[in-house]
Amino acid sequence: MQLNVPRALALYLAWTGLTCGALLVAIGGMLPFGLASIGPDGVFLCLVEVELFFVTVLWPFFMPHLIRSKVEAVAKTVGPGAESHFLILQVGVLLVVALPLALVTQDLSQITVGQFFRGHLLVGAIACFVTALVGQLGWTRTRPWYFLAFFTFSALFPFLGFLSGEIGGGSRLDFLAILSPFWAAAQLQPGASISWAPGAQAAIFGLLAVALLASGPFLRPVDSTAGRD
Amino acid sequence: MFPVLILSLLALQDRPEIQGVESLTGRLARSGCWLPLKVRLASPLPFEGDLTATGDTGIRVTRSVRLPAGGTLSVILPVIAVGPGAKIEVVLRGPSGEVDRRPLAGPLEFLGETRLVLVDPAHTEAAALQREKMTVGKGTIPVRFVPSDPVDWNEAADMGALEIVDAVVASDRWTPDLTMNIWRGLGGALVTQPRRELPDRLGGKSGRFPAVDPASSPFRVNERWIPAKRESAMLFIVVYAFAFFVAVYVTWARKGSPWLLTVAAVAAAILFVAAYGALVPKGNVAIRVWQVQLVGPESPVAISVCVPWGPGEPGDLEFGRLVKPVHPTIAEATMRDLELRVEEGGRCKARGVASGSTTRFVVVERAAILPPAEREGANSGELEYFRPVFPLKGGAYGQAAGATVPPAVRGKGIVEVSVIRAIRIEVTP
Repeated sequence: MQLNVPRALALYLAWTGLTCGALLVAIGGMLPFGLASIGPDGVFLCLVEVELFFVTVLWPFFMPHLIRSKVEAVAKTVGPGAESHFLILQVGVLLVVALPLALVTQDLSQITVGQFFRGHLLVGAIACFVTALVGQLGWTRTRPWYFLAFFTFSALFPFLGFLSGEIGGGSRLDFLAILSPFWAAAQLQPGASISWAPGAQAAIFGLLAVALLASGPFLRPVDSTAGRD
Repeated sequence: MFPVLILSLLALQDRPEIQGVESLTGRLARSGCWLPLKVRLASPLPFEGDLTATGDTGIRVTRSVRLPAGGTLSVILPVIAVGPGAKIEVVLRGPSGEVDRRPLAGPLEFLGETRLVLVDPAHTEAAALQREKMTVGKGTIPVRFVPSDPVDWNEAADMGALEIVDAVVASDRWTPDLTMNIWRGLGGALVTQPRRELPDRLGGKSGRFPAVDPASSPFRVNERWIPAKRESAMLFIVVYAFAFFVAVYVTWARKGSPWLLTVAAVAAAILFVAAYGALVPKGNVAIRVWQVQLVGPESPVAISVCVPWGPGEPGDLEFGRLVKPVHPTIAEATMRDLELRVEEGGRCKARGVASGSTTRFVVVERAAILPPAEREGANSGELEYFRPVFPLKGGAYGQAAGATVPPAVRGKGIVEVSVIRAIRIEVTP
């Protein structure tokens, strides 16, 4: 397997640019009217949310061309999705690249070691799940449904929960918010009401990623080229 | 039974004990001000432990004591009393726990505007002064004279424990040995001819900082970010982003292999993790200071009101000398569990400090030389009336100080000590 160097360079720079830029804007309060201006207790949360946004929205666009065509020969032999393992390794590289920022934000936010690891475990698990999902099913075929599901889980469910709380009545749907990775990441702070949410989501998405990787040979035929990107 | 009793009595005799507790000012006190206690200790065996004085607030003062076998020791220990029924108690603790405990005898008599003067018993007029009823301030302010041994005055004054005393009358034998610089800088009078000097010297008020003062409540910090932390974090992020860009871009431009690109990215990250550990200031506590510089006939003194703030917990704060905790209400002074530990060299360590609490720490330090004051804006030489000038009472004319005297505050996690405002006041005799 061989990394597509220009694509990898773009990936690393995009990752660093997004995380560093978001932190600078948030810490510096550079936007007008105090937008995105956060206190020190919210800096780590800001980093985790930005990382989640990257691995769920931008990372799938990098994935298809990150590996050179040389790998296709390998995929035809051992089955499609073999490059998912290599892509997951790149996820690890991204987390290592963000480590200096993570340490700085951890000191600013005064969070515990457990919260630090749970946050990055959540990012890593969701990134692995996205990698396995897109790698096994193909990006072109799954893209519309992927973003529909992303919007539903990340935005629609928390919004429905918020609306049900505002409207009142007998049934409350605020439990739906727990399905959102961004809402779960927001529990990574002292005194959070549901502090187990990030760890639970990380476990669920990790298991789903493992299941997708294990079921790879059963999802697509070995010599099939349908859906290859 | 009898042998057990004998053994118990023998065990008691081998223990160190507090032989006596008295106040240098008799039973006279001022609400919220330091009351100087003199504690006499004795021990048949070598002893190392702590001596703690407690009053009717949550503030207690501790000093380490060391006694040789068969030795005695006199210790000056200040304590705060607020209410008329204050119970002052001194506790001696050793490695195994509490050894002895003794209260200060008699109820305290709290003074209002009355001036308090300590008199050297060896002074020729000592007896006469205690019999007479002197008044100052055109006959409106009475003066109380209390006999006191001058051997304790220097130590008590340097600790700040003579806060309630307005003047001392010393004999010629003691006058050359008495320094009491900071106490005199705050308005305390050292006189040898009381009838001639006291009426003038006692006309004004000395600098006192009651432990309960509502004027301390405006001194608070409403900011979220410690400037030093914010700037260092932003600088680190900018430098890291730039360095990472350079590392990976140069690797790519030089046609590096794919793995070399990954290695370059990881190496840059590891390098900056090391840089973070070595260079970026840790800790999340800052000290914000408001300062008043008094320039008078004695050496100038700087009165600093220190407020710990920030998202972190301060832990133990170490000050240059005995610090006075001030609270806006008596309830807050009572519910705070604060220990002031007077250490060797006069440094004072405050334990139990909570960030964001309403405790203000008043530190008085001697300033060697102050540069000329600068008037902000308008014409130089024109004085501005500052009201109030906490912790001095009432208002005063002064100028914006040109330079500040940073208080000697140390503590784990402190990343910044900033003097937000400094006012210089010329005190005329």
